Amino acid sequence: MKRQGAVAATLVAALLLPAVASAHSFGKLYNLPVPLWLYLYGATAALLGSFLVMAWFSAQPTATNTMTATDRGIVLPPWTNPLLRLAQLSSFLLLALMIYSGLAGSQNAYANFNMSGFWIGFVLGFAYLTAVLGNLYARLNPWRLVVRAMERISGAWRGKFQQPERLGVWPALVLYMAFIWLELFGGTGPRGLSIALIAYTGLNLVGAWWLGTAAWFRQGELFAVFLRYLALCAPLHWQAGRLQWRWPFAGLLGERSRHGSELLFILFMLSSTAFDGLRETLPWVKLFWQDLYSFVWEPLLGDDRVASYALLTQIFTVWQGAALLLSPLLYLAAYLFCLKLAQWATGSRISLRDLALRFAPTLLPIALVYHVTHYYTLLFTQGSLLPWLLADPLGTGSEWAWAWLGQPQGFIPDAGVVWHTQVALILLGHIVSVVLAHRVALEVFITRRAATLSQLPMLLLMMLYTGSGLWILAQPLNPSGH
Amino acid sequence: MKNALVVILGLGLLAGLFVWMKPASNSPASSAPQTVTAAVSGAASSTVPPVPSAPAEPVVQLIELVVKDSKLVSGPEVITVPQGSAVTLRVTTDHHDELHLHGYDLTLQLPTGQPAELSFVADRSGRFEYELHHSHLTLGALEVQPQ
Repeated sequence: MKRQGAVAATLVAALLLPAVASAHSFGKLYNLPVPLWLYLYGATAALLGSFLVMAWFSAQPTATNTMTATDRGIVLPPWTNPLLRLAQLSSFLLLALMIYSGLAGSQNAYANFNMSGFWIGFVLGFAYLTAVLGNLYARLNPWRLVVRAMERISGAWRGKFQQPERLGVWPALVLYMAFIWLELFGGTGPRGLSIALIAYTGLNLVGAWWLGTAAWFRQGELFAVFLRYLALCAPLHWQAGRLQWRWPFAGLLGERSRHGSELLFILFMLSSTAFDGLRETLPWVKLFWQDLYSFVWEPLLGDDRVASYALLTQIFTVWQGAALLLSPLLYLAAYLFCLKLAQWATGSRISLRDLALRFAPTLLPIALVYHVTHYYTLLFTQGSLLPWLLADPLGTGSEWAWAWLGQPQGFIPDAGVVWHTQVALILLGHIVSVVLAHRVALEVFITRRAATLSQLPMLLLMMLYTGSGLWILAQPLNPSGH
Repeated sequence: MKNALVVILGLGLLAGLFVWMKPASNSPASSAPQTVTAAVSGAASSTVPPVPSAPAEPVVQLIELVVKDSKLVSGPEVITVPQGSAVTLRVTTDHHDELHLHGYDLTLQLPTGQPAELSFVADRSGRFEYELHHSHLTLGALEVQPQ
């Protein structure tokens, strides 16, 4: 008993400490910048790999469709239904627990279950699981369950909006941007997170009522859209009582974007992760506080740094927020430029808009690996504490909660292993994207020659995305952790 | 069959490039590191290279940090050490505070005006920030390079 008390005290002490300083997104990353040689290797290997893919495709006799075949699968036996119900109930209860623990429990972000459960367990862990196991979220979405329960009382919600498809995924994109902003700059603690989750539940009710349930959970609920995209990378596909399997990432070949907002959503998946990496680096901080300082702020505000510091901090906040929200436009500009080159090189009559929509899903592997490389270590350092946090969700530090779990232990992966995994994943994502873009090109362009030609600018684009992702990983980090 | 061959060949090429570009590993970090008293005025980066000498008595890397008016006035902002080094942080502040080193989860009480020391072996690689709790000040980061 005494020993457990000591364990509890150690955990509470360990958990209490980092909370004070965590001003921004939840969880501490312990990643070291990737060494220069490994960065150079990653970039060179990406280029070499791309040309190998090109050479391989140009030597292929015809486009083979082995990758897209989805007729392999099984009909789910009836005993899986109670399992699904159980999983749905757990999903709803977890949401309820996150809301409750944030309101009633400890306000220490590291002691309360809801912060780790939501930011690490759901936003990272469940997302990566989705990229492997497929779109389980479509069935387990707790907000959809809430809406369904409401519909049982009031009848089906068909929406007040004529032709909701005209909206594309704009509602989800706006919410996604707000969500990432909240994640990076909101500084939310357990109570703030609970309030945000309650607000989001209300928003889903209003959204489903306004747009119609089916349309809202296809175009408005941000996690539904985000996870559906990640699920396209998965080798498993759940559909109408069937479980099908396919090559990993093959689901992306069947995906058609129909609306510009879908392209922007995918680009924001890329750019928001890149931005989160970039803002921690020394070059990013220096750009504002040194380069812009001497050229813009000093002439404008005078050379008294102490006097102008408060104002500059405010400008920096706006500057960072604007950079985050405008970042997809930078990725869009590069994307459209390269597609324009492809269109010009092939003399294709397909409009730039159609080309842009057609190739959009091929960027998802790069977006996925960006995300994984940037955040996956948090699953070890913080995610491994989830059993302890779930045993004591309010963070009361009660002794019995850990009695059967033993000493809580976060696990810090070796930095060398992290470097190699990061570069290997980025390379993998890059090569998969290059392969997919080739496959799409063979369908879109009439001749093989045109398809190959079109892929030169696409290769440039993917090198830009991959190279900048690697570059960010290799930058020295800002020591004072703004 | 042909496809599998191409994939294997491609992977072989990428692996070959990796072996070719990977630098020869330096002297192991366990060799006696140099004693460094980093008391440079202004915040500069301190890199403590491992010294390839005969393994002698392990020498402690001593890093001195001085904080005044909630600012680091002396000592490096980034401490870089090879994994396995023995490190001592000697911290002096002008007000009572508590130092916390993330990742290692070590704390050190800092009495006003007196240097306090935190000694540990940097056996985990990675980048670990350390901060003063009461003044909410991130002092810098300890970068432990993997072996």
